[in-house]
Amino acid sequence: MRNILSAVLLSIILFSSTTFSQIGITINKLSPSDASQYVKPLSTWFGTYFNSGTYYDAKVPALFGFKFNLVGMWSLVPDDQKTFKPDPKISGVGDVDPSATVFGNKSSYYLSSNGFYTYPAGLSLNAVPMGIYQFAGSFFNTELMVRFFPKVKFQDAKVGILGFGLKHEISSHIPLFPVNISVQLLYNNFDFEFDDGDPANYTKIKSNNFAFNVHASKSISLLTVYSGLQYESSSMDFNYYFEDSNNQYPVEGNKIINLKVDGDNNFRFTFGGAVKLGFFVINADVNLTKFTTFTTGLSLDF
Amino acid sequence: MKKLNKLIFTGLLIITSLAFNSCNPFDDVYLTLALDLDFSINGLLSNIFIPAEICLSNFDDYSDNKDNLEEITYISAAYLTVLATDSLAGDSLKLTLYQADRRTMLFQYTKAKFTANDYFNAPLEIVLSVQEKSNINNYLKNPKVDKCFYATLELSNITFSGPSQSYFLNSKMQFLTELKIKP
Repeated sequence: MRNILSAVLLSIILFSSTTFSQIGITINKLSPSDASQYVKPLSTWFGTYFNSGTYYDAKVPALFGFKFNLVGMWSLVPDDQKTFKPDPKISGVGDVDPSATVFGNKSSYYLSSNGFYTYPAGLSLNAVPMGIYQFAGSFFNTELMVRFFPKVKFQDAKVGILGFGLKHEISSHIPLFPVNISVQLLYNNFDFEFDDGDPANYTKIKSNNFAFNVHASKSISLLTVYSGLQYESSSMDFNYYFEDSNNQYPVEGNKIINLKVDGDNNFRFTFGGAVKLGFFVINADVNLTKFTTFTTGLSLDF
Repeated sequence: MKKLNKLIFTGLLIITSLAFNSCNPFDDVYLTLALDLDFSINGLLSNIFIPAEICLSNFDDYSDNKDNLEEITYISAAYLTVLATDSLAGDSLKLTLYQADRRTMLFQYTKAKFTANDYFNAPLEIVLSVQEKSNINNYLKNPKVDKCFYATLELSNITFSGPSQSYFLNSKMQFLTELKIKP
């Protein structure tokens, strides 16, 4: 499965890096319990990514509105998401030093009955840059946002994104309220599958992300300041081939393993500002959550 | 107000540009690489001498990252028996690692009263002195230049049981290194 996990991030990050292709990631030899810990930060990051950049104004037009947004993000990878404590569950193997997660950079090892076992390093990322586009249409102070990337096949890999957001401006029911307040529900799904016919290379990642937020904004001339509090959760189904060449895991070894990995997403606080220049809006905000995330957006809003 | 708008717009552009173009999101990578030196023999003599040779370039993790390597450091070493004749034993096991020139010794490890099957599924961790570790690390300097190692396994006064007049030993010495790779 060399490079496949890199390819996942590559395919969604949509930028190339020689680092990914050179180092790659081989996680086939990770036991299910270790693999689960290794990819957990990826699940958390998906939750952070998909639940970012979903608003820059709490005001929703009373009649009709349309938006197209291009959102760029920069998520800082915290130190506690770069390592995990391995637990190989093999008798005779004692305490193992922390090893890199999918985002980490320093792999660990232990001495087993078959010699040294070495853990994989991660992608060695301090931050994850990412972008997404979205459309939104509104009617009667209610907005439906859609993110859609059809499931497309790239050689042996298939990748697709589908997301929805439903928002309602509750302040529209309170005349002369000094700020605009909205509530928003979000659901985003990411689907990646790699299948070249060899079970040893099979990888599937399905990430489901949910969020609910309350946000407020105040516009002064062309400038809008906004802030929000969001509850969010994420979970990821991760399928990989567990290669157990030494038969130390007779039940789980040498077959495709299905893992369900929940992310560490809980709450986030967002604060930002937007400038409206005719039909164009430029915004930037900071999101305080597990992965502190900065977003900027360029939108067509009318 | 126009000046304020211009200022905000310029600020946003600068922040966006900095975030996406100037900040390098990548950190150095530290990969652990286990180098295996295999020793195999079918013998009749009472003393064993098995040579083995290996180069860093035999390993994909080294070859793939050679151009970006900053440092290679020694971590640990171990001996293990893969397969051996029943009760194969000797007075002492001597493992020696040399530079590629086969003369410059990096370390020598001796285990008295050696029984091969004691180390089947139970590796023997080779504890090196500070000087021996330093020898290896000095040899591993300039990591972009491929390094080869020559190792020998010696066993004296061999005894074994079984109907056969000959014995066999398949074993290996592993030494673990860490590759520091720049992004």
